[in-house]
Amino acid sequence: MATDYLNQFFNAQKNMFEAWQNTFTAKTGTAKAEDKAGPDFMDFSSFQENAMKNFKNITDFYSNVFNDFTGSPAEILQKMNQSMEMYNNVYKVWENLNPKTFVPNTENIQKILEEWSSQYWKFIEANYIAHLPDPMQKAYKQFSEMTESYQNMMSNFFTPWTGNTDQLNELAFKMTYMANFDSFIAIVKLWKENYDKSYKKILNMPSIGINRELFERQYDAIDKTITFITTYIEFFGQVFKVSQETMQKVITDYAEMMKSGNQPKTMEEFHKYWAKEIDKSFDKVYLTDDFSKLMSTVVDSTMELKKESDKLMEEYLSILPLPKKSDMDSLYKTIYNLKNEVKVLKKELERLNERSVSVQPEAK
Amino acid sequence: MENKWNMGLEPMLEEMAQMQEKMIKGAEVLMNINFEGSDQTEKSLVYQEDKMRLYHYKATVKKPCKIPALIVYALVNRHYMMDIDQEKSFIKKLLDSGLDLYLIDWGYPTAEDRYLTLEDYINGYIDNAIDYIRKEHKLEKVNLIGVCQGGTFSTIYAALHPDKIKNLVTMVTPVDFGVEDGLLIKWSKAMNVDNIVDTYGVVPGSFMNYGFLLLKPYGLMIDKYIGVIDKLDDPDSMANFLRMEKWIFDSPAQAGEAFRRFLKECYQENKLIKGELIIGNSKVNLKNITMPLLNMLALYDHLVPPSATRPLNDAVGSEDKELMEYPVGHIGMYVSSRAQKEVAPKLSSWLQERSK
Repeated sequence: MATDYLNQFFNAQKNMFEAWQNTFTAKTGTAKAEDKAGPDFMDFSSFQENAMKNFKNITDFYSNVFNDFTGSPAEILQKMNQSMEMYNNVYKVWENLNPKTFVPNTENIQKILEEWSSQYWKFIEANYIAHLPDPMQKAYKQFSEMTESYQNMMSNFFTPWTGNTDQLNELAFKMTYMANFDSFIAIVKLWKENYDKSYKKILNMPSIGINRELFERQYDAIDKTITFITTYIEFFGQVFKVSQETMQKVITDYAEMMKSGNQPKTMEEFHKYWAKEIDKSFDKVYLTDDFSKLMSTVVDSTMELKKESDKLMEEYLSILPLPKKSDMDSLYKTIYNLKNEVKVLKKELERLNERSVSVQPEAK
Repeated sequence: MENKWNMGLEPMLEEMAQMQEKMIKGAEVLMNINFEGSDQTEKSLVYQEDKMRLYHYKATVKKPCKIPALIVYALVNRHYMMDIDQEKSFIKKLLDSGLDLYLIDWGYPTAEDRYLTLEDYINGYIDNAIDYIRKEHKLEKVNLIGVCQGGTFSTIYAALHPDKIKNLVTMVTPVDFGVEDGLLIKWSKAMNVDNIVDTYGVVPGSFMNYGFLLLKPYGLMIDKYIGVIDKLDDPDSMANFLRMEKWIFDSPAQAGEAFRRFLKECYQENKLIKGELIIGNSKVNLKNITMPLLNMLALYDHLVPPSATRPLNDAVGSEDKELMEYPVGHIGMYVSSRAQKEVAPKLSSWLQERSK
């Protein structure tokens, strides 16, 4: 089967190239008419002279190219079109690279590569696959679709990371060499955004099988841990930022005060002055809505992490003969309800006792 | 030689040397220090229900006030801040001035208390404590002193059971949570309370402590401990410091359901002042508070801003009402020298005048 296919394929290739070679043999100069082994359907003057002969040439050409090919004429025409499309694609590349229009800088090369890349699979299909036997084309189609899906998936997965690499690098530079806390906070935020668009999706994928719940819980715990860590970093980044900015302000103000001789004279005075400034700065930041939201997010992410960790721990301990927290909560609820009932009944009894004492007839 | 900040090198070296000396002496002080002394005013346990305990303080005068007063402290932190040591005890001061005092100790809630509700606290524990005192003293009405969150509970109680309260005193008590100038209120509004309670069940005291520390991170986490170096070689000052330090971090857990409702309905939805809060089957109408009211606030309160306290006087139906403002902080209301000289005497005389 494989040998048949290879023979068919190589024959088709051979015939095709021979046919094309003959077609484009020079029509002028020293070449003699009798040297033309192939059809001359591109020679429009002779086409006009003898339409029937040219029509025969064309059919012969097709026949030569596809004599091992078992497809309908419509299919053949379709493949011809695809071939032309391939040619056009190559032409476009060439045109783009033409010195008259092309400036060979990184951006332009990247642009052409992207364009080429986007057309690549179409190009392969038109140039190569169209000439394969049906079973192979079907197999290719499946493979092609799979590859495309994989490419899309990987592209979607990595796009968030590749898309803002420059931004991340720039922020990292500012953070490292300029001690810029805004950059640090921005990096964490950006990293988290990228994570949410990529790895988080993997962790949130539904699991299957007998241990489905445990797997999902474990992945969830990992996700919650990452969210917790990034949120905390952002939170403490904000807090440290306040300290850093206040210190910068204090130094600047101190330098100004020195000019008039009003600066704190001792370390103790300086410390008091600085502590007062830092308290003021914290109050200012703390009272913003953004900080309240951040605070709430920090608490929320802590709770989510704890909840998931607790569930996971219960899952691990479930094989041991120990009551779980959830079991105990249920028991506490029962006890709470029973206690309340007892309290109500006790009060009712006291009331009845008091009433019976007050209505008891005097002893004889 | 002078450093570039123009702070003479000599004074700096001198300060450093003094600090070192204090550190050395301080180590010796700390090894031998005794900082007992909180919660020492004599009292007896007279009633208990679950973890709640009702104490009756021993009178220190021959003829104490005829109408006893019940002190309802907050669920957060412990009541002995009002009895931090015998020299500065707010409670002792009130007793010495003639009041007859009871106090509710809420205890330390544990996991089994997660389902306790605001109804359990207000219509249960407080009401039962009041009934006990009424019965014990054969009185229709008693005096009620609410502190901080305990003040909010007392206000709600007085609105629901005005027939049992002779006079109401509220201290550093939040009632209007719609204000914007209190960090605790602002942060609480943004919190996902359900998530906190669903996660913990009983919200740990340490969780609350972190929140309080964050309100003033530098002052409470760093500056305070720098300041203590000055006191290191003074056993009395260090003992005072350690008593406060112990109290600050002695934070009971919070019963989940009560915490959930208090934060959501008071802090976030501000239902109390709007007259929309429902306890049991009754709507809390502050106009039902017709007994005399003394509302005392701390002007430098960073936990309960004065703006959250002042509106109570306009919200109640009392004709006899008074608002007292003191230039102290939340805790300074009880442990400062002003507390001894002004706050306690005012509270005592105000109550006694209305308890004849």
